[in-house]
This record gives sequence, C-alpha cells and structure tokens, in this order.
Amino acid sequence: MASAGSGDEKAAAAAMITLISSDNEKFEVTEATATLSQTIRHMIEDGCTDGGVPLPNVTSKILARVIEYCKKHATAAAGEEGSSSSFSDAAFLEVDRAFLEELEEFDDAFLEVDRATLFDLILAANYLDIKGLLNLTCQKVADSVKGKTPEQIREMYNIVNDLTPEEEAEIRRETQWAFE
Amino acid sequence: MVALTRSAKKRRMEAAQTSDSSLNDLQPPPAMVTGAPHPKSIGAGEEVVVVVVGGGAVDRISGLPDAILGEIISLLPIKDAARTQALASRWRHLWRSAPLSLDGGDLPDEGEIFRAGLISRILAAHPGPARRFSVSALQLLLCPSAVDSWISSSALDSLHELEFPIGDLIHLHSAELSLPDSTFRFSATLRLATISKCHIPEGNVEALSFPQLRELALESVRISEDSLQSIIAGSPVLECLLLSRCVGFSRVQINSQSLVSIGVQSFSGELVIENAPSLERLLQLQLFRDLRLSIIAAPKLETLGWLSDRDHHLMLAFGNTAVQDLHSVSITSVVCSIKILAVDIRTLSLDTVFDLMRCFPCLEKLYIEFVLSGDRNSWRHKHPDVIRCLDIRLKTAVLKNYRGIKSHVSFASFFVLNAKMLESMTFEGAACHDQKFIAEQHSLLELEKRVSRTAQFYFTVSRFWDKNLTHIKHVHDLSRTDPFEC
Repeated sequence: MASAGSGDEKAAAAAMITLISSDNEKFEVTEATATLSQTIRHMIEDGCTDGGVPLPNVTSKILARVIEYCKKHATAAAGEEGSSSSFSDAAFLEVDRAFLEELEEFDDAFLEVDRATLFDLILAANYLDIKGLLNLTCQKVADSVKGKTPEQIREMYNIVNDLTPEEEAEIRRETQWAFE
Repeated sequence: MVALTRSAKKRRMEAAQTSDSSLNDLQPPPAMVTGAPHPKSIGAGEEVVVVVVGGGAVDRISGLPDAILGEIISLLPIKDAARTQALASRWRHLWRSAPLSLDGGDLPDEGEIFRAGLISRILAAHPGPARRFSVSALQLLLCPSAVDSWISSSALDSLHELEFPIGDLIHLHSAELSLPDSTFRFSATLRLATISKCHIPEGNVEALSFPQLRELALESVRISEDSLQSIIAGSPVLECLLLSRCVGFSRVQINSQSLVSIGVQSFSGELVIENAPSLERLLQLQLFRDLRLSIIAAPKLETLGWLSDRDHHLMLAFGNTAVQDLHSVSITSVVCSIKILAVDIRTLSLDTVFDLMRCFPCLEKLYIEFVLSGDRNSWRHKHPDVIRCLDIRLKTAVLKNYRGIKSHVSFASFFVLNAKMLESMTFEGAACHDQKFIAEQHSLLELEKRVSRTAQFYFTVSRFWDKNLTHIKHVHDLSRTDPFEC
C-alpha cells in the first residue's frame, strides 16, 4: 500500500501539486489526491511536476470532477491504512463501515451525469490512468446496455449501423446463440 | 492521429433521427477533437474515430478507444457482449479482441446439456484470452469430456477467475467428480477459484504456486491435508478461504501472512490458526460439527462465530492455553481484538455473558441465541463489583428467541442500564410484533432510564434461523464486515 517511512509520508502528503487543464485553469491538489492517477504518480516519481502538470486532454470542467473523485477516494485509502495499522480503538470498525457506505453513495451520486460527461470522464480516467474511476464509469456504460437489443443500443447512443444487411446476417449467423 | 469521419459510409439515418437529450450536441464542437482521447495507459497508439451523424446527435461511444470498449464488453453478460458485434462495423471485431468473460449462469436455462453445447460454440468463436469462466459443477457430472476440452481450450488462456459453482449438486451425496487434469494450468494467473464436488488427487497441486490467487472456495471437495496445506502455502496473496463440507483431511494449519477471512462449514476436525497476522474474520458456518479451534496468533481477529456451548465437542483455545469449551475460555484468556461475536448458548445467563466479556473485553457487537431460560439473571444485588470492574464497550446487542419473561427482561435490562456505549439493542421473538407486548416491555426493561441516551431499541419477529449463515454463498461473502447481520 504505502511506502515505508511514516515521516517521509507525512511530508509527501502535505506537498501540493498543480494540475493545469486544457483551458489553462490551475488546480492545487495534495500529492495523495494526485497520485490516484498512475500517470501523475509516474511524473512525480520522475520529478517533472515543478511548474505544474499540464493536462492538455482534460478540460477544467472534467478535471474538477476527476479531482472531486480522487479527493474522496484518497481519504478512503488513508482511512484504510489507519485501520489496518496498530490502532485498536474500538471506534474504528464503525467508522470504517460508515465510510464505506458513504463512499458507495458518493460513487452513485458521482455517476449521475449526462452521457457526454460520462464519456469525458472515461477518457480522462483512461488518460490519467485512474483505475477505480475507469472501472466505475465503464460499469455504468455496461449497465446501460445490459439486456438491450442492438437496435435499442444504437438508438440510445446514436450509433449508425454501417453494416450491410449481408454483413449483419453473417454476424447473426456466426453467433446465433447470442441473438436467440 | 485523430480522424474525424462524417457519417460517410452509408446513409442510414434512423439513428440520427432519435433524440437523446444528453447527446443532442447539434454541432460537434471542436473540443470534441482536441479533447479526444489520448490513450496512454491502455489503447496506446490507437486511431480514435469520432463518428458524427450528419447534422444530428453525436456517437460518442464508438469514439472510445478499443481497449475501453473491450473493457465495457467484458463487463457484460456473454450474450450481451457477443451481440455488440452487430452494432456497427466499428464494433464487429471488438468482442473477439476483448478478454472473454463467460458465466454459464447467464445462458438460457434450457438444461445443462444445451448449455454445454453453447459453451463449446462460444469457446470456439472466441480466441481468448479469458478473464472469467464459470460453469455449474453439474457439467462435470453430465459432460466431463466437454469440460475437459473447454479447460484445455486456448480461449481460456490466462484465466483470472475459474468457478465450478456447486448448485443443485449440493444435494447429491455420493458423486465425487474428477477435475480435468489441465485445471491447474491457470495457476499462474488465477485470482479466484471455486472448486466443487471434486476429488483433487494427491500430487496434483503440491508443486504449484498460485501467485495471484486472492479468493479460494473448496466445496464438497476431497483433498488431502498435504495438498490443502500446499495450496495455502503456495498462495502468498490469498485473502479469503472458504472450506465447505470438504473431506480427506482432519487438520488444517493456517500460516498465512495474507488471509483476512476464513469460513469453515461442516468440518469436524482441528483448525489451527498458527500464524495469521492479517486474519480478521473466522466463521463457522454450521454448528455442532465438532470443530476444534485453536487460535495461536491472530492479532487482528475481530469477528468470530457462531460458537455454541451446546456443541459438546467444540474446543476452543487462544494462545497456547488448552481450553475445552466456551465457558472455560474466559478463565484462561483475554483476547482484546474480538469485536463481533456470535454465540449460541444453552441457557440465557448473565454469568456466561460476563465471562465472555472478560475474555473479550473490547467486544462491541454481540449476537446471542439461547434455548433455555433457567437462570433468573437477577443482577442488581448480585453483581455490583462485576459491574464496577467490567468496562462494557458493547454497542450492539442482538437477542434471539426473546419472549420477555422475567429472566429475559432481567438479562436485557442489565445492558439497558449499564452499557454506556450502547447504540442499538434488538429483540427478536415471536411476540415482538405485538404493540401491547412491546409497550409492556418498554416499561419492564426501563428503557426510559437507559444509560446510553442515544441507544435505539428494536423489536422484530424472529427471522429465519440462520446460525448456519446460509446467506454466505460465495467466497466473496466472507468479506462482509458483519457476516451475522442478515
């Protein structure tokens, strides 16, 4: 989970990173929040974050949402480390559970966005390599097409069917079991 | 790098006519191009196509990189996943290039033989690799040679999750099926494995290691002690272990840095937790099976149950002390890590619970089921010293079989009037739906005088007798924080 040396870790947690969106807006975040992104984590490790991290593929609107997600989940990760350490305080168990529930609620609410934003979040999560956010958003898309026919999915996502009738018939024949 | 294709190919405009409020960007904004994916971690170097329908709504989904679409397809049930091929030419090859995820339970329920035929066709249609493969253990009984060929199929290369759920075979006593020889070819990549109703012959697993295995369930499996030990020893990141109705061994010795949850069901033997620094939950899913449990080193063990003093052969030991039963445990040990405990006791007795609280001084949640009410449980004069020196940290108590007779009231009122940290107390019993009964109990239990002002009291009709924790059906379920809550 965390690297060794709690002293260093505290210093690192306090360090701030500046993220710069495609429309040149600057966001100050803690290193703990920023490093939920593997892409940024690697940049920090390589020592190339001085003067801010330009993110030319992410707009300020989307970056703000991504940071909101990372902040919440960075707190969760910190909480987990706390509880698995030597604290034997009786309160921890309850706090843990309440926090997990809160996190689930946060994720559900976080996904209440229009489709355009959802796709932007997917692309940002992919570019920034934030596994949790990518899984969450991909699952949302998967859930939306589950149980639907190709026609319904096309209509939902404005997909133009450019297959010839022959091609489509061939696909249906090859994987007939999927269409029964 | 970024190509913007207008709805060139064929003018099938039906999709464009539909309105989708969230996607009704009439003009594809230039940002669509600049903000287009720059796949770094996955899908690097792919050409990104933003498909724009002439003058209408934008198809954003088809513009996602292959790797992401593959990810989405892998999350779908198999039929939904394969059907995406027919969406458009962009999608035609995606299902085959995405990792296969095949759960037999998602296929039409027209009998296992029918399903077996489908599974063979799916595995022939997909080149692999696979993420998940789950087929009922019934397939091993009905179509063993088909299962053999599936497991060897290259479509399943690099498999992460292999499951043979027991399903209806749970009722079949005699069958002991054999696992395909090549089952363990996935040892290097498996994250999760559920094996049911099989015999794992000695010598099959001893030489193997499972470097990524996190969850393992063996249900009605015959396996030797050596084989089982070597699987555990060969799984350095194993977190959840479910041993259900397994035979072939009489002792399991747990030495694992990684195990967090262990569930055993119908095991009449010795379970020795020799060294399990990460272990948090130890569950017995069925009572009265003569489990002999010895916990030598499990400093994080928080959740324990069900245990019963009616189980004549239950032996419980903490540390290096030899203890015989639930009652004498408290005399010899103090185990501060336990926070959630579920016990089935013959007689509802405060003395027994005091003993348990001395043994587990940090107990926060206690589930009690009892049979008899012989003890008067009068504590007001009898136990002043006990009350003084007991630091009661109990936050939640659940009392099953509550009938509200004098001894029950006396027992429960002890906690109402002395448990300073109490948050909730639940009374379960046949009469607990009756408003008159509840009102009566309110006054008998002196709820107005509760010492913890924020405590809540609940009366519910007895729920289904679930000391067998039947809601724990899958190895995943072992990671519930409180498995006794149902």
